[in-house]
Amino acid sequence: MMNKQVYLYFVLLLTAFLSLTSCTNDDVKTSDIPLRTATNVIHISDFSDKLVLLSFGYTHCPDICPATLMHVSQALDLLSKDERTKVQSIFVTVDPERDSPEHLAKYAGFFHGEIIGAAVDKVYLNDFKKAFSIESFKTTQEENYEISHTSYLFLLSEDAKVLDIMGHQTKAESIVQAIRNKLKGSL
Amino acid sequence: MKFIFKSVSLLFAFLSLASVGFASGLEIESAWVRMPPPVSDTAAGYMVIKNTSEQKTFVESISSSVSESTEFHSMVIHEGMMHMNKMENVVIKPGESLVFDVGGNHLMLIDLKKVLRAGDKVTFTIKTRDNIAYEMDAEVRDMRKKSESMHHHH
Repeated sequence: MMNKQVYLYFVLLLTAFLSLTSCTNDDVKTSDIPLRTATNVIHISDFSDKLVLLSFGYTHCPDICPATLMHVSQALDLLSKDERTKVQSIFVTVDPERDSPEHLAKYAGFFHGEIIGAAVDKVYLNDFKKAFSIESFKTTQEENYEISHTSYLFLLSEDAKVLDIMGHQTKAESIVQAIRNKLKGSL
Repeated sequence: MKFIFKSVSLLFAFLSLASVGFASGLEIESAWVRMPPPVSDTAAGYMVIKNTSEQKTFVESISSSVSESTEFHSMVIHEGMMHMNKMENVVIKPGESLVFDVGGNHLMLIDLKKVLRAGDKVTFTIKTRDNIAYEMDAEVRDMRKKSESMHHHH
């Protein structure tokens, strides 16, 4: 009898502990959510002296994602060397099932050597997406699915505060303008 | 080798069909393929398909020489969300054109058989419901250095 009570108590404790640990996501600030790259784990808060230019997509996306990353790449090239040291572009996948960090590094690197490709760990992905009101879902259950997703570009501060939102078709010059506006504001 | 022979004979079959075809008349223009990152197994293709005949034309299928399959994809932006879907019924009215262009509807080349490089040639074959085949060569273009945004006049 006693044993059974102890056992129940133990199970209760364990359940409480497990539910507590699964809730810890709420306590993690967006800027501290780990983003996995091919070489290490980064956080938006790592870029304390930079603006973060964040975009979402997936590497099977044939048209929009490449076009957006190309605009980002051109924007980076239009910035002065000095300005470029103050901007970090990050491409986050909405398709972590197929996009490994290694794959993402090669994909992002094709467009510009300074764009970091990253995957958010599954436990944090929903929190990260929610922070930027990003929605995404598979269009079919077939193997060759596509993903419908929100396609904005975000300009962030180190605490992941959204400073500016741009449509995915924003041209390089306008991205540069948005970056310069914020760089000026931070001086 | 056997495969190549088969393709060639199929090609001749298509060509002879096309030459006697009269029911549907399609003109395919401005075909090109966006060079994808080498790690990609998909690519986007673009073209304009014009129906020059006097009848509705049902496009039954499209295939390419470099991918396992090719689909017509529609792209819709709704409240900042991008939706891409396979177009199941591709119908072109007489005198009208279907435009597949950057940032809109496009062709999706799925499961690339090789890494596409700038300047490569891709052959598209479009088949209509009345079994006429049209072929069009498209060039693979590296869009990274050609700014799409810098040709605007101020």
